[in-house]
Amino acid sequence: MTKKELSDQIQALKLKRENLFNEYGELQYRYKLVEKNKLLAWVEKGFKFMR
Amino acid sequence: MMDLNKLAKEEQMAHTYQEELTLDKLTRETVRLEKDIKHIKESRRFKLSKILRPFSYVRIYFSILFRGRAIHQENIKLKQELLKKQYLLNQQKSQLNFINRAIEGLKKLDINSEGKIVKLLNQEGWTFDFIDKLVDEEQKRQEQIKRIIDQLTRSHRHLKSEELKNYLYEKTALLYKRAQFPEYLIRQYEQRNISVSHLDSFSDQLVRRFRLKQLTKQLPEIVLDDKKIAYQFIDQLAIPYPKQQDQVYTIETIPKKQATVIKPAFGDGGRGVYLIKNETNIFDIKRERELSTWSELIEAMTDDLKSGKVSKDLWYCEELLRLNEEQPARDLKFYCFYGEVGLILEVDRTTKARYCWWDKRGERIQTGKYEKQQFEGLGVVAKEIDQALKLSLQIPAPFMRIDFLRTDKGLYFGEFTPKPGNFDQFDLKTDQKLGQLYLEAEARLNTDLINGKKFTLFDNIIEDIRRNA
Repeated sequence: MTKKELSDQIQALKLKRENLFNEYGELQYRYKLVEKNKLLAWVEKGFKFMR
Repeated sequence: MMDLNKLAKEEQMAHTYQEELTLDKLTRETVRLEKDIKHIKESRRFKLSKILRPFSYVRIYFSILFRGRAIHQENIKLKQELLKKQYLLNQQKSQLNFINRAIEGLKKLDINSEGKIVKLLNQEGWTFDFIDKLVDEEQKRQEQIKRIIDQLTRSHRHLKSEELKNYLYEKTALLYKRAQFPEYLIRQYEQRNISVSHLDSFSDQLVRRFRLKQLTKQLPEIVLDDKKIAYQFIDQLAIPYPKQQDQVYTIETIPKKQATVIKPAFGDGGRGVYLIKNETNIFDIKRERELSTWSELIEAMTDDLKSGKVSKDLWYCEELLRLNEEQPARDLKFYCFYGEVGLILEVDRTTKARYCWWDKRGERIQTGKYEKQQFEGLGVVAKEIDQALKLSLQIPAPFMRIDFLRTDKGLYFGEFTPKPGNFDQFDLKTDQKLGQLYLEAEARLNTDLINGKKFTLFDNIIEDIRRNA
């Protein structure tokens, strides 16, 4: 691998990681939001009870 | 210049290493993030949340209503950032945990932890620092061990039992043995044509040569170590040397002569050498002190024999050469490597011995030896270096120190010294440089021998010895 290729690959990966990290932040936020949702907690309990 | 090139190379390699490592780290992080994202997306709770999402819109509506859209969005953004930071923090915590476990394991000599440390070094990009630090510490440790072993070995000479002494000397040799290289690494050096010249060592080569001497009595440089044979050899080249008396004396028969040098028939390193200007002005080379009476000289010579500095009560006299009216001739010791001069040592013995090192370009250098006994010497000229160099090409040996004397009449040959005293005391840089010169000389000599080079002057001497035997 040439220096240029290596550098390009690093840049591409940095961008990809940045995007993934943002996506992770968003998803995790939504996940936590749901986690705190009392209604959802009841629904989950209901599902568990039914099973 | 070479050091600068080396530094630039080191910097370049460290940069490449960091880049490769960044690539590796980014790849790992990306894969992990993808995995974590997948994990969230596939979780039951997250799937359920999709059904209940309309309810959260109500909450968002009220949030925007009471706080305003901008603040609501900023809140979300900040919360997301916080979650991202928490993610990084968790990763660092688990990394720290991994390090702690590896260190604990190392303390308990757990083999698996060694692998963990290697993984860590590779992941974090600590390889360069680790090697540098380890090399530095290993060097310091080795130097410390060497100092201790040296003192220990020297302390054995006071033991009374010769058998015990021999046993301990043999046992100590193992401590000096170099750690063995794995074959794998040697194969890499060979396949990749990597030079390991930084491992070359002058003292190692001289120890190896000493081992060869034990196996064969005919090493060329050892033949020439005999001063009389050396003068015969030099005679063929018409190089002047101090006039010598053929007669060999004992302490009792040594004559009281002015302007002479008394030397032991067998010995080196200046042991048992005395410069006699006159009966009341005598200089003891080894002990670096002036003697003012003949009886003090006899006492010193007797002590040389008793302490084993000189092995036999056999001495000879030669003419005392001078640099000028006040000063004795100066020693010029050329470290010759079969056609290459690696180092030159100038010694002034007017009162206390003072030393000055030169390289083959005639520039003053430091070698780690005699650092506190330095002086600004007269130096050497190219013609003199050339003379030593050509002389070394007549000796079929990779290394020979050729000692000359600088006198008011020009350069005089002094002696050949195949094994310089305290050859292990050079600093690492000098030891490496001389070690490399030694190996290069050995390679050149081997080629010359294969090509049938004749060492006529040396062969004549061997013939003479055989005839007289």
